[in-house]
Amino acid sequence: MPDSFTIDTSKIKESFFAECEDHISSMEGFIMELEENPDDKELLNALFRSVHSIKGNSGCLGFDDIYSFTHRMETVLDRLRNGEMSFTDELASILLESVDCIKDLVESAKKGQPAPDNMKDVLRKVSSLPGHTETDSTVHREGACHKNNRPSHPTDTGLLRVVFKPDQEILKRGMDPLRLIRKLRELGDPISIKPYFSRPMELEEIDPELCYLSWDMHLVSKESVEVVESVFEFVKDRSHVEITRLIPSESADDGTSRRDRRVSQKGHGSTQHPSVRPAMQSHHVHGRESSTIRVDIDKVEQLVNLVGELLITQTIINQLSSGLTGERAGLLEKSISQLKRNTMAIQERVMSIRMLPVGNIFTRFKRLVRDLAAQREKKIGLLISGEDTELDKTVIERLADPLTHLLRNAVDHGIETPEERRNSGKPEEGVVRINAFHEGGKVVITVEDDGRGIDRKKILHKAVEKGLIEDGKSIPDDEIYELIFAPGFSTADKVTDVSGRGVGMDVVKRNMEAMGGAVSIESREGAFTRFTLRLPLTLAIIDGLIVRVGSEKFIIPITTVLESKRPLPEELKTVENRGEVIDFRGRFVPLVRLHRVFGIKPLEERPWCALVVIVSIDGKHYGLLVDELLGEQQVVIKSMGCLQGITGIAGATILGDGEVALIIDGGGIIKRSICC
Amino acid sequence: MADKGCDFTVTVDGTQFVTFCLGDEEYGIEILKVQEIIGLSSITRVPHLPDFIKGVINLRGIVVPVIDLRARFELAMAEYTDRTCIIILKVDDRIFGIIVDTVSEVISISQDNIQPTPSFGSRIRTEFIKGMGKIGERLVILLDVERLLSDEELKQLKEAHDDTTTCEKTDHKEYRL
Repeated sequence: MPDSFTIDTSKIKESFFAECEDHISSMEGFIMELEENPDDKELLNALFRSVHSIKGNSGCLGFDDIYSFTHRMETVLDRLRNGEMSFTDELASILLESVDCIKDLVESAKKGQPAPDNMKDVLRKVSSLPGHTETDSTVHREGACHKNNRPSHPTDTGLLRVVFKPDQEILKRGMDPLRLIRKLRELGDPISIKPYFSRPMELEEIDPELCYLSWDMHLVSKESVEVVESVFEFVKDRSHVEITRLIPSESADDGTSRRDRRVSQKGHGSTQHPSVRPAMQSHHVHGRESSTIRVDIDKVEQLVNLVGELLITQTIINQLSSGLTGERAGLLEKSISQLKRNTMAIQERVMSIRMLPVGNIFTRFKRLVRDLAAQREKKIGLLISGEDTELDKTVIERLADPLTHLLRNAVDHGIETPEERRNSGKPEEGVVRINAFHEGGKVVITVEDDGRGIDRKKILHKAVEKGLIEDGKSIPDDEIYELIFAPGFSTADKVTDVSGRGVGMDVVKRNMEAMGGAVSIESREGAFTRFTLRLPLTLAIIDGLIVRVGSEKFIIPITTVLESKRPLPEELKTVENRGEVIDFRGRFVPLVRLHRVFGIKPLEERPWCALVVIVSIDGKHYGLLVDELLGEQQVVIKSMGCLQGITGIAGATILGDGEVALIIDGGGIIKRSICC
Repeated sequence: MADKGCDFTVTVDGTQFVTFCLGDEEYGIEILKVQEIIGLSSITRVPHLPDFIKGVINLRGIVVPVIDLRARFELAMAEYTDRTCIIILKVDDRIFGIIVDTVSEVISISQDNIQPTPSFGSRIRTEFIKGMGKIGERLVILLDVERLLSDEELKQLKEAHDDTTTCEKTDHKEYRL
């Protein structure tokens, strides 16, 4: 029995890591947007918030490396915000590197490893920024940076009154009001702190998760109202914060001579300080957390399972009711069709929960293209469209690799150097375009560059050299392009660290095929190259061909099926007593007797009395001998629990009658049949 | 796992066990490992597995492997009747079912009444036994459910079949292993 009184930090850490991932990817986005709009305060605030969230949480969980690093980063951002530094390309690069560093730090924290070495390099770069004076000793003192970095606000000691009334929910958001008060202490000497209990009540009415306290403090401080106010930066949009200068410092407060400046915010009311407004707006534009919830994927899976059961039950009721007659039969039929509509609607909604916008992975490509272009000294703009196109989470995850390869290729091989482009009359800046859209029940993603296009002759030459094709044969364009996907095929003259080894395109094709998708190429020399990826919406559902072998049913994924036929006796040949082959459009392909592979007694041993399903597996064709075709159906792929991983079985599904049928894994079947 | 030998959670009333029968022997499984008990439903055979793994069933949308406990213990096979049950077990993260002749009851056995596994006197292999529980004159064989379908064994099964040399061209029965 788990002890219910100890807090399970592993769960908290898990969600911290998940949040970090989100923050890291949005941080990259913010930095790159800032590059284009360096004066955008909203972006800067959003970036600041992300860094701060990571810092706050890492501090709570004891990840000191992350804490101190993000603290340094905050210092830089703070200087930016105060206009003490300007946003340069160099700074952008350092910030991006810092994001990488945070990524590494989070990764090592996840694995429980010590911080990676590169952290020091990045820190050095951060420290070498002009005007950066922070030393290590200040790292752990929050708020200390304000003292160091605000030479522009020379102030003397004054008396401030700070009224802080946090909203009741503040603790639930992980903010500790005491922490804020402790921070104030760093800014000056609190001469009095009076807590107030806002709602006197019966003991049993008190909710331990709510905060009922508020504070009235008097602070002797050299700092300006703004500095003190900044302590409440992250709570002020929901809490009531009021800061009043009671005794002005001698050299009139922060130069603006506002003697009694009151800053008051409460809730989302209209009395907000002007500097808060944009930050809040940007929060809604950039952060999606306000309208989404984080749900464990298992919960969604369970829902999907239950909906599947619901559909089966509904089908059974439908079948049972079909023979009924009489007055009430009609009514029953009516409600059953209503039930059917509802269950279908529920299924659709539930499946859509798993869908995520593909734009989630596009963001990281901005970074990839930016860095790579800089490295290759090319000018490249990345245009992204259709990022709202939705795809199953699992598909999106597996799409990242192929797209990375395609983009690297586009940047490295596709787009020419600025001189080359000038010479051929193109604008210096090349364009790489990613587009995503739905088409005929599939998702299509195109990656296109306006570069030099694919050199037909070069491919032909290489192919002949490698003995892939015969010399002098005329080959259509698409077949030539197909050669690019062959393993080890590369036309690059030199191998760079990103491409040229001829592995990438092979990976693209394999990944796509593994997902039941396809990839095609269009190109015109000197003009463009376009890769088109076609994908199923989800990996959880496939179109399956239900076949019978003996008394058992199996599913063959329809994407692998070319045709099915009942062969003539003369179309079968035996090779060396062992292997059987079957004539398929003039070619002999191996015949695999499924009943033999699975150890089942078939209804029919003679292929010409049974059926042969011709499938394409890893580019090769095979004939699978089955007893009967039972139909075609969309099936939901289920894991077989601890039995998952048997060669030849890709998984299982539940058929309309509630029975389990196994899904055939073509590659595994072939592997098995070789030894049978 | 080895040190877990006889480590039952001890409460005032003893540990609760679900008991069931195979033939005339009574067995017990810690109730905390039992997710539910269902009647026999249609089982889909999965090829290339040893005989004791009967196949998979549909448990409200989840595909669950089931093993026949008589086959697992190398006891004589019996016809499935309407009293035949599947006990769905949840061990760590694995869910699987065991087919038993009949399910009897839920009983509490105090730690004092649990004796270590005797090296003889039972018809099943001692590796599956965690201890013997005594309730008056009755003797209940307490099973070590972790061993019924262990990870290592599954891994070996899968690996053995990946190794192409283990297959031989013989008649159909052989492929069932």
